[in-house]
Amino acid sequence: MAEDKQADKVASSETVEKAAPEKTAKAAPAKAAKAPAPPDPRVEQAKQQGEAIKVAIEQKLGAGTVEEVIASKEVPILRIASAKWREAITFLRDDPEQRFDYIELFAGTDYKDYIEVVLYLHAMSRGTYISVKTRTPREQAVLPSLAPVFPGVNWEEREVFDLLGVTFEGHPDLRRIMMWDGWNGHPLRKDYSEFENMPQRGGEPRG
Amino acid sequence: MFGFLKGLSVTFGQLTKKKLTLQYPEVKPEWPERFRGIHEFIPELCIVCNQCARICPTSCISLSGSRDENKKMHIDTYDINFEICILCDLCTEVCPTESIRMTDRFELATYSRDDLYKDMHWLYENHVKHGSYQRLQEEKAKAAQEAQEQAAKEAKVEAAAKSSGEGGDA
Amino acid sequence: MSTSLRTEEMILNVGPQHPSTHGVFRLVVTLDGEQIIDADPVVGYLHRGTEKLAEGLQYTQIIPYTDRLDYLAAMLNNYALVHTVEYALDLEIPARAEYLRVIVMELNRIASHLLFLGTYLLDLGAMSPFLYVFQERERIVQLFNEICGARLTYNYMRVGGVKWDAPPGWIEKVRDFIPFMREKVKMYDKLISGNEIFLHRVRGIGVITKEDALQYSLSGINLRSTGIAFDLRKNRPYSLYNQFEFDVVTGKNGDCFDRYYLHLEEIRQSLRIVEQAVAQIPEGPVLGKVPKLIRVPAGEYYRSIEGARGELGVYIVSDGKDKPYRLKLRRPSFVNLQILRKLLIGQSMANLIAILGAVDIVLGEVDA
Repeated sequence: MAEDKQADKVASSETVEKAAPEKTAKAAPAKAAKAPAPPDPRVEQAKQQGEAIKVAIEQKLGAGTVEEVIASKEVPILRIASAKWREAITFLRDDPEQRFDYIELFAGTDYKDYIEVVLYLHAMSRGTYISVKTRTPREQAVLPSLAPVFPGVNWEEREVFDLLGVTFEGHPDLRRIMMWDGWNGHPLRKDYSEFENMPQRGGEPRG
Repeated sequence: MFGFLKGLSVTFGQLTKKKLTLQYPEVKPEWPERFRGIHEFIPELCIVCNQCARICPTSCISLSGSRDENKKMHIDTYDINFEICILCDLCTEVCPTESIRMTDRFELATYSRDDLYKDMHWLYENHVKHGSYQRLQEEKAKAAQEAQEQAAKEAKVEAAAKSSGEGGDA
Repeated sequence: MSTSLRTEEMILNVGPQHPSTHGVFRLVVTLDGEQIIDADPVVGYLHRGTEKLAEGLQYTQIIPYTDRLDYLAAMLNNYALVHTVEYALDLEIPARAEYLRVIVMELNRIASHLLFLGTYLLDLGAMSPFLYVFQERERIVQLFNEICGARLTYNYMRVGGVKWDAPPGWIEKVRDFIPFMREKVKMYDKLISGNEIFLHRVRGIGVITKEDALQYSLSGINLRSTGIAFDLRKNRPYSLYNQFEFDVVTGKNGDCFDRYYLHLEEIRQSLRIVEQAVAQIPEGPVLGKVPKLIRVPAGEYYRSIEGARGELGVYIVSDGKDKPYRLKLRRPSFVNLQILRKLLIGQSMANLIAILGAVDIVLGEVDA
C-alpha cells in the first residue's frame, strides 16, 4: 500500500514537472481560456491595473523592468526582472502614487526550469492589492535580498533559502531556519528525495 | 489597594461555586454522539472498496480482501496503525456501508508500540456506546425473538380459544 | 559604578523546553548583567513539513493537517484552506454552512484568546486566571465536541460547506453561552485590568511603533495595538463578515498592556458577531454541490483571513490536478515573531517573558 502511494507520488510529480512550464506561461488567463466566450471581467480589470503600475515602474527604473503582466482573479501580477527586484519593491513602497507598504505573503515555488519568488503587497492607505514575482534559475539561485528594506521578510527569506535553496544577497543573517545546519538538500524542491537526502540515522551527527 | 480588594472579591466569589473537575480515571467523561474515538470495524458490512485506505491522510489503514464463491468481495485483513492514525474521521465519511465508524473510546496508552497496531478482530470487539453495530444486531435479534415468542404466544392463545370455542360448540 | 569593574557578557539559553515559551522554542539571549544586548530566536523544533506533505495530498486530506498548525484555533485554519480552494473554484456556499462557519470560527477565536489571557497571566506569575479561563474554554470545547466530535483538532470544514449540521439544541446552547461569557469578560476585566502588579509589569513594555509594525509585516492584535485599524474581516470581508456589526478595536501605545486588553476587547466583539449569527441562521443544507474529486483550475491563488493571531493566508499554486503543486501557508505567528529581537534588545531580563508572551505565538504555527 505504502509503496503504491510512493510510486503514485513520483509519477504525479514527474507529470507536474512536464506540465509546469506551459502552465506558468498562461497561469492566470487559463480561466479565461477555458471559457473563451466571455473573458473574466475581473482578470481584465486587474490586468489594466497591472499595466498602469508597470508604466509607473518603468518610468522610474527603465524599460524591461517588468517582464510580464498577468492576473489571477482580481489580483494583478507583475513579473519583475530579478536584477531590479529590490529597487522595484522599494519604489512600490516609497512612491506616493503606489505606497504598497505592507507585505502580506512571501512565498517561493519551484518550477521545472526556474524558482519563482512571489510577494503579495498591500497598500494600507488605499486598500489595494498587487502581487509581484521574480524568477531565478534553479542552479545558482540568487536573488537580491529584501530584508534591508523590509525587515519583516527576514525569516521568510531564510525559509525560502532553507527549503528551496535560493541565496539572498545582502541578507543580514542567512542561515537555515526550519532544518538544522547539517541538513542535506532543500526539501521543497521538486527533485528532492527523502531517500537520497536522508540524514544519518539518529538525526543530527554529533560532533 | 482598592484594586486588590476588587480582585480578591472575584477570587472569594469562586469559593461558593460548584466544583468543575472530574475525578478522571474513576469517573469517565460522557462523550457526545459524534465523538471521534478509536474505530469500530464490522467485517460483515465491508465491501473492500478500499476508499478508506485511499482517503486516509496518513496512510494508516491497510486492508486486503478476496472474492468468495458467489463472486462477492469480503474482507480478509484490516489493520489500523494507531501510531500514526490522527482520528480525522475521513475514513468513516467515505465508507459507503458504514462498516467503519468511530466509537467513544479514547484511551490508547500501551507499553509497546506494537500494541498500537490493531487488527480486524480487535476493531470488531472494540467497545462502543452510541449505536454499536453489535448491540444493534443483538437488539434486533432480541426484538425478533420477542416478536416470534409473542406471535407464538398469540397463536397459542388463539388456538386455545379456537379449540375451546370449538369445544364449546361441540 | 566605577568603570574599572570588569563585566562579562553572558549567554543564556531560554528553552527549547521552557514553560513560558508554550512549545519548543529556543531563545539565545546575550546578557550584560540584567540587560539583554542580543537575542536570537531559534525555531524549527516542531517543523513537520506541512507544505511538503500537502503536495502529495488531495485538498480534503490537507484539512486535518491544518488543524495542527495553530492548534488553539483549528477552525480558523480549516477555514483558511477551504476558503482559498472555494475562491479558486468560485464556489457558492449554502447560507447555513456559512453561518455555522462564522459561529464556530468566532467561538474558536474566543477560546484562543481566553487561553492567551490565562497563559499570559500565568507567565507573569498569576496562577488563578489560568484556571478560570479553562472553565469558559471548556464550554466552547464541549460545544465543538458536540458539533464535530473533537475537542482540539476539529477537521470540521469541507470544501463547499461543513461536515455536520448543528445537532438539535446546539444553536440554543451557543445562545445561552453568550450572556454567560459576557459576564465572565466583565469579571476578567475587574480581576486583571485594574491589578496594579500586573499594570506595572506590562505598561510601557515592548512598545511597537506603527512604522515598525508595517515594516515587520505584523498582523492581528500586534498590528492593531499600534493603532492601525487593519482587520481583514472589515478591510477585505470574506464569508459573511460584511453582514455583521462589529468594531475593529485598536490600541494606542502598542505596548504589552494594549495587546492584553485587545484580546479582551476582541472577545467582546466576537460575542457580538456570534450573537447576530445565531439570531439570523437560516435552515437549509450545509454542504453545497461539490465534485467528488476537487480539482483546482491551473493558476495561483492567495486568500487570507483574520486568524486568531493575525493574517492567516493560504497560497495555492495549482496545475489543474487534485493535489496542489505548491501550498504555502502564511502563518501569522511566524511573521509576528520576527519583531521579538527588536523588542527585547535593551530590555531587562525580567521583561523577556512579558514581551514574548504578549506577542502571542503558537509554536505549531511558527514551525509548520
